[in-house]
Amino acid sequence: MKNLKNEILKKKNTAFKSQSRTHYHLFPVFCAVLLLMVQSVFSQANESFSPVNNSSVINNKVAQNSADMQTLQADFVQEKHMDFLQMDIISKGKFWFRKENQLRWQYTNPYAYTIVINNGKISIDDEGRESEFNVDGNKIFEQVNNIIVTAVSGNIMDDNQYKTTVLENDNFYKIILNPKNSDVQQVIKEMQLFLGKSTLQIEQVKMIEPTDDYTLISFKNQIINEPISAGTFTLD
Amino acid sequence: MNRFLPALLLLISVYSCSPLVNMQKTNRVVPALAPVIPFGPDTRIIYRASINISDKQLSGLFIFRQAPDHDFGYVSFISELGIEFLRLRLQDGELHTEYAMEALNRKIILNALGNFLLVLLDDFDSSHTSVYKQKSDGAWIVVEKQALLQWEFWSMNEKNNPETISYYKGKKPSFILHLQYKKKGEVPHIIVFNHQRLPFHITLKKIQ
Repeated sequence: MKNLKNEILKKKNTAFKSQSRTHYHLFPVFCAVLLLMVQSVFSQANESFSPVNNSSVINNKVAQNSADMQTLQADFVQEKHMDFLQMDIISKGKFWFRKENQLRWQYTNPYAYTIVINNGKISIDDEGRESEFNVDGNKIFEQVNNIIVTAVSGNIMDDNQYKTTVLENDNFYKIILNPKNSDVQQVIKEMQLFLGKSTLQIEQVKMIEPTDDYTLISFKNQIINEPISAGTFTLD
Repeated sequence: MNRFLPALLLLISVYSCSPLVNMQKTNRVVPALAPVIPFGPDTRIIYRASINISDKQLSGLFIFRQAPDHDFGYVSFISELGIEFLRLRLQDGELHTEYAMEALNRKIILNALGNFLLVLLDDFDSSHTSVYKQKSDGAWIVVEKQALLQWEFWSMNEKNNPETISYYKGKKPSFILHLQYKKKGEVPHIIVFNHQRLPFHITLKKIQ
């Protein structure tokens, strides 16, 4: 009986040791796979880009895609990079867009802040404090409004407010927008839109300021042309 | 005697303008006053900011930052979307404008913002003399700036944190700050700035 117990214990120990050994063997493989996954996610938009051969075809495709899109909603992660900060400031939220000019941009983390742009009016809910004003009367918001709507809608190819350059790699089209308007130039030196090649959906927006600081917004869970209720574009 | 008369008259007139004139001086020892937001190597403090200037509303983040290898710091105001409105450099007790968006680049706005920030950031030891005074309705730390006709009144709570700071130029306050804390020894969780002469209000709420 004692021998049997010892044998069972021995087998358990051997099994445990062999399991542990198996884990140790798998660990580098697991790390390598994880590294590859992380790299593939983060490097997609950073791979080197080259000019597209036939930019007019791309222009037409993007313009058609933008024309077909009536609504868009997505989650976003925003990373603010500043040269004097060692760590980027990260905020998260969700947005809803409906043509022509209706937008709800809602931050949920690390603070609650909602900006609604609806037919020339801007409404803000700043942690319960609501305010409303016209875009026209506020130069800063007029510029910001223009930038957000342009970035989200992707309606840029025939926009005479920007000088446009189209680049590509295996996975993305990178559209570089340089503002022509001097007011916008003061705020944004360059805007880079990353569109998935197969979907032509906007995946990332990078807004580079005159100081070379930038804001990188990555979109996830995009839903296109699903009806969005009118109430989404009010604060009530 | 005639030589000293103008100086004497100036001294009397300055003193008569001072909001300190009705206060009683005491012999109590002045406790050491730390800046409201102390800047040092690797400072990184972020506030949510809501600014109202002449009924125009701006909001965003106020960032107080000093890199570990720098002897100066930055205060930056950026929109939620990340666009920078303003960047000031704090060096040797002075604020220098490094960048200001056109809409904010007005002397009156930058002066008011600069005064507000210096009250929060200034190191007392080097630039101020302070006197402890007692009022019937509570204890006050009176900080008297070296420059003529500028005073700061610090009203301290029982944990020796300033709860109200009034900044005077002459007899009437230019602006008043209200400060709220979550924990002792921390920077304020909420800072409310109300300018008394301009339609200019700021609320800061700490997020990081």
